[in-house]
Amino acid sequence: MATVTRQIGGDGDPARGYVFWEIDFDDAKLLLTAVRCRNESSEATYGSVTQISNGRTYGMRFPPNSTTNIAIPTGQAQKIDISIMPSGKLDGVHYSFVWPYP
Amino acid sequence: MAIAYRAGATGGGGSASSVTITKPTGAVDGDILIVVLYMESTTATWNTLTGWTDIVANQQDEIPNFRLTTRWHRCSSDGADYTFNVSAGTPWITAAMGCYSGCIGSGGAIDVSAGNACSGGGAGHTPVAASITTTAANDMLVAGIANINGSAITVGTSGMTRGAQLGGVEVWYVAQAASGSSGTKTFGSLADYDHWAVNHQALFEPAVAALNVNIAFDNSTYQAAGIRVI
Repeated sequence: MATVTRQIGGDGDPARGYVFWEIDFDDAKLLLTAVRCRNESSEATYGSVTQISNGRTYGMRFPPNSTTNIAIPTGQAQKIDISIMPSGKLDGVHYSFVWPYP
Repeated sequence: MAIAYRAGATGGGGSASSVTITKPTGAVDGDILIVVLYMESTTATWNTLTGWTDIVANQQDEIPNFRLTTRWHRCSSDGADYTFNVSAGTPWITAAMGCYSGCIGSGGAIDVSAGNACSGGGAGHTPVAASITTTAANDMLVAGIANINGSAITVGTSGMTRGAQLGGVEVWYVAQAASGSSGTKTFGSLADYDHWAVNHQALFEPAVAALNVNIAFDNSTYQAAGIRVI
């Protein structure tokens, strides 16, 4: 088992700075374990993840100039399962990111 | 007022029949939204959505693996989000949206557009936005880019600025002061399995209003100075 980190997205502009979103997943259990935001901008941002099959969602606001994790529960009742497509992409989850955010 | 990137939003990144994107923060009526819609299918399409107009529809990469569509919308008492539905099945879908302020306030918002894709081999895997020829000054060039592997795209020599991006589906933009050819916009090279497509479009800024000047002459003043007003 290994925890794999993958950068999946971002936003920003030169004047306000940039934000980067990453995910951590367990490549053996195929569980999403964290969504991490490196917000290097002067604006807050919002990110959420939703398991497509059941609508289970975790999301939060990320303050400006901060690095924050959304720790995803991995217990049976609240876990978010993923699968890996032949292309190597992770499936089973939808993301929603907004920048800036009030 | 020059066109400016106000905010972005992204959604998707999995297999589904629809994708919902939150309205970008701070979007006000009159702002123009451009959404980049990515779908790993060569048969399905995106259903029409009231208020949204296709700019480049179903641009395929070379294999083809996927379809890339860009659409625009002028904000007008919009709700909190936008949902784009797939015509059939549950393909892998992702969307990235940019919100632009300072655009033309009525009529069509798009000056010109073009779609293109990789053609295979070597340099074919360097994403390039095709040259478009704008017809007005101060357009905002917007490139919607996607690649099959979901890799982050780098700026290369494009001179463009990256906005919202999710899973290799990205919005890039740059203002162009003078009308005319944009030239090709070349981004950084991808790995050789990263097939790509780019939809390139230009947003109009508001037309400059005609300047009417009314000058009132005081004849008596001019006549006193020996000037005859005719």
